[in-house]
Amino acid sequence: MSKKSGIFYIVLIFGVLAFFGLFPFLAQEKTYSENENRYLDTIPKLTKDEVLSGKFQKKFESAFSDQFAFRDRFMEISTETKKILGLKEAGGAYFGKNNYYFAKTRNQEIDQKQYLKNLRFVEYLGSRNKDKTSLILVPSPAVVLKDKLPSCAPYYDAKAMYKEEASILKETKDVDVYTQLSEYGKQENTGKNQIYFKTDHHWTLLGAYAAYEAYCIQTKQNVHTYGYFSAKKVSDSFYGTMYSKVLDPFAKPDDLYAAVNVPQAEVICDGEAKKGIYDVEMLLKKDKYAYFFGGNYAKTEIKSHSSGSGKMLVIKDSFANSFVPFLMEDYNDITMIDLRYYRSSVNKLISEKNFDRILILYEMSNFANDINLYKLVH
Amino acid sequence: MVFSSLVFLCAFFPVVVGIYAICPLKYKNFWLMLSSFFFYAWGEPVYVFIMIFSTVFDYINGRLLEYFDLKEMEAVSKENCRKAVLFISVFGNLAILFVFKYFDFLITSWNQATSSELGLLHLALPIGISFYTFQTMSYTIDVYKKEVKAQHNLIAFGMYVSMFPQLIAGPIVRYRLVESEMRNRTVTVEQWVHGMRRFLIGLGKKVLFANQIGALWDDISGTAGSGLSMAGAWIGAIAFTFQIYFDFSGYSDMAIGLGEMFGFHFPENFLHPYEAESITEFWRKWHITLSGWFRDYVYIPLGGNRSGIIRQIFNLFIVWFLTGFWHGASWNFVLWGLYYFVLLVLEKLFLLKETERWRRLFRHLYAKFFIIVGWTIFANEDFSQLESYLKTMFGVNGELFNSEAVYQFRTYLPLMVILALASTRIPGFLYNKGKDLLKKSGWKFILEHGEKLENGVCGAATVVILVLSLGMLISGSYNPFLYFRF
Repeated sequence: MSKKSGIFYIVLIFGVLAFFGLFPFLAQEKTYSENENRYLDTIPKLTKDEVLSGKFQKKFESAFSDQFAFRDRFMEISTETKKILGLKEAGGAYFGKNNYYFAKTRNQEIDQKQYLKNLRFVEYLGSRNKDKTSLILVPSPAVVLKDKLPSCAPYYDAKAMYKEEASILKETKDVDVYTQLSEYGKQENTGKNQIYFKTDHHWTLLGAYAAYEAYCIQTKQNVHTYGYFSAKKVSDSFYGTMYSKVLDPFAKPDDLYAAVNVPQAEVICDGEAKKGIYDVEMLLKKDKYAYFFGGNYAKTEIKSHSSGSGKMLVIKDSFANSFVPFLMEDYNDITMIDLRYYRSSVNKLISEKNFDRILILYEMSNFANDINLYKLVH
Repeated sequence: MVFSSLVFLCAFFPVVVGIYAICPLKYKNFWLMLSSFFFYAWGEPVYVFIMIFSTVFDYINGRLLEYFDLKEMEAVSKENCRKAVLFISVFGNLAILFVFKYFDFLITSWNQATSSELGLLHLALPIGISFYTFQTMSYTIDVYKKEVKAQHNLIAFGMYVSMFPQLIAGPIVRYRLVESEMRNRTVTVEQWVHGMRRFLIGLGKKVLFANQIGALWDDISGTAGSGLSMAGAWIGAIAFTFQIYFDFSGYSDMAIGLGEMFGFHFPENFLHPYEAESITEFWRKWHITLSGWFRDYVYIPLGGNRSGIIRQIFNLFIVWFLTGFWHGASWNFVLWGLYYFVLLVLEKLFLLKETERWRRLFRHLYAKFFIIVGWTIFANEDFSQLESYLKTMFGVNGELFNSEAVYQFRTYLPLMVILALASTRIPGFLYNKGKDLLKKSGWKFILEHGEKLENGVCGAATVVILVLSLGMLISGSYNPFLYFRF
């Protein structure tokens, strides 16, 4: 080997390493990663105690990685490397067919005991509010879109869990949305007909509508057609939470639709008045699903100017945010509470407001692992 | 600190090597020692003092051995003094190892056996303690045997003990191997390039191969006990077999490559062990520096094979008991060592002669089978867990296969094929064959620029490995440190 080319090689490698080594110290520190949807660690302060306990070193390593130059590009490289090695998952998400990404939720990721407990909490609420309480457990995307999972990929047994739901709920109506979603899911899953997002863990507007339809039919209520709500595309560049897990450069963005033909409404989120049920500013951010109500709040009150005059309570996770607009025509007073943040008594709220209907709506794996449903009995 | 971390690669490595390259020869040892202390203290801020103590302790022992050797005194009392020093040294080193590594374990075992409640020390295990105590012991023993001279320079000795390339995962470098290089060493550009390439290949083995297949083992060992099928158990055991080889030999490659950049020639630690056609051959090719250490400092002093077959078997028993125990303070490691003791004795007695008559394929299958089962013992620290895992492997409980196993098999088959090939000499063979073919083709371009082309291709390939590895490290993919029990 010529001396020159050897020196060139060595200097090149050390130059590259030194550049990446210096970058976290010289560049402006970033505190949040939109792409990954999380806060980043920043270079910690040096203190004697933290150094001696090794805490400083751990924090430093984490910050060094979070502040790395071209971090997003490197993450993409990592995902592609895994694909080349034949792997079918990265960052806790499966690479599905047709550019779908699914959370890797296997039986061992579901807390069965908690699930049964939560069902009993719901049944307690249902038994105190007879004939008006319903539970919707939304199947996770991969439960309905089984054929889009990598073949034989392990996934939790939703069927068995629906059976358990049916056996525990007596006074509470268990609304089956799975059948309706499967029906819709059989259609061509592109663009307008998609029921779940490809890059996000939520359902699309159509998916939410399918559940709305099932809910209304099974609780013998008036159903409006999907056409009635005149869905409109509000974004064609939505990269959701699943994308954040895999950061696949070949991911295709999702379209985001919203119902336009819904009544005007006053929306109060945690005591603060909002402009409406849709938050246009969120379309400029990464998490565009927050277009619906601007995200999650402990308590959201919706008073709509509609012909209907029902009062409804929705106890929910974020899946309800795109679902609730369909109900606004028939219920002019809807209260949504998110038990993760809600700190007051649920039963007190119920006795004060005298709701016509109570709906508990969760995505199934969220519901099973949620530790806040005990609030239903307080 | 570990090699497969961003802070090591992008901060520590360039700074240390950069300063090392420009600092004058007489300060090189000092700088290397200082940076090694930093390297160690990064992960073990307090335990670095044990290493420093160990260094000073054996430095003094070495000097004392020399002092008594040169002192004019009666031959008998001279020998006694020297023996006393050696005893103190070995005892001291083993005592440190015992207190930090084995004490709590033995007390816990005692408490369980006799249902007593003796108190524990609750000391965390200092990383790499088994490697550096073995290195310092090899020094005093060799000084005692007059195979090496005592080191007078404390800095040079401190550098030897603490040298970060092999500090936490070997290879175990005996003092006599690097003695002359500690005084004087030169590094040519060629060595630099060679060392760097070796380092990057080792990094790739660890990050791109071992970690990826390790994630599969992690997944499978997590489901053990419920829903694991026979096929799944075998896939898991094979995954761990690959993980430990690529992890460990990757670390050794990185250490040897780093050593080369600093002008040292460290011994090889792995020679394609999974090509072995017998267990005897496997242990000649696996963790060579450790087996060599036990051979020279335990087996041969015990009499080796010179005092009859019964005594030899006893000596082997001691060696393999200790080898197992060295890998971690847990009974499964002892069992793992004794498992190899039995296999090696059987091979010595008749099995090797028997297998030599077999076809090569069957010899391979025989060796692979016992190696894989061996790693299962190694990887399951809990005995009841081990028992259930082995039962699943041999079809006593669980299904034959399930959809999870099918998914794992289909997903990881390409990677496993790559790993199987990469663990043999085939890639090197193909590389040389291809080179020969190109040379013979008589293309003018190849004849004139062949060497440049080769350097370009190797250089580019290692840069690609570096970039892909950085990607894996940044994305926070599974990146375990396997030697925290050693």
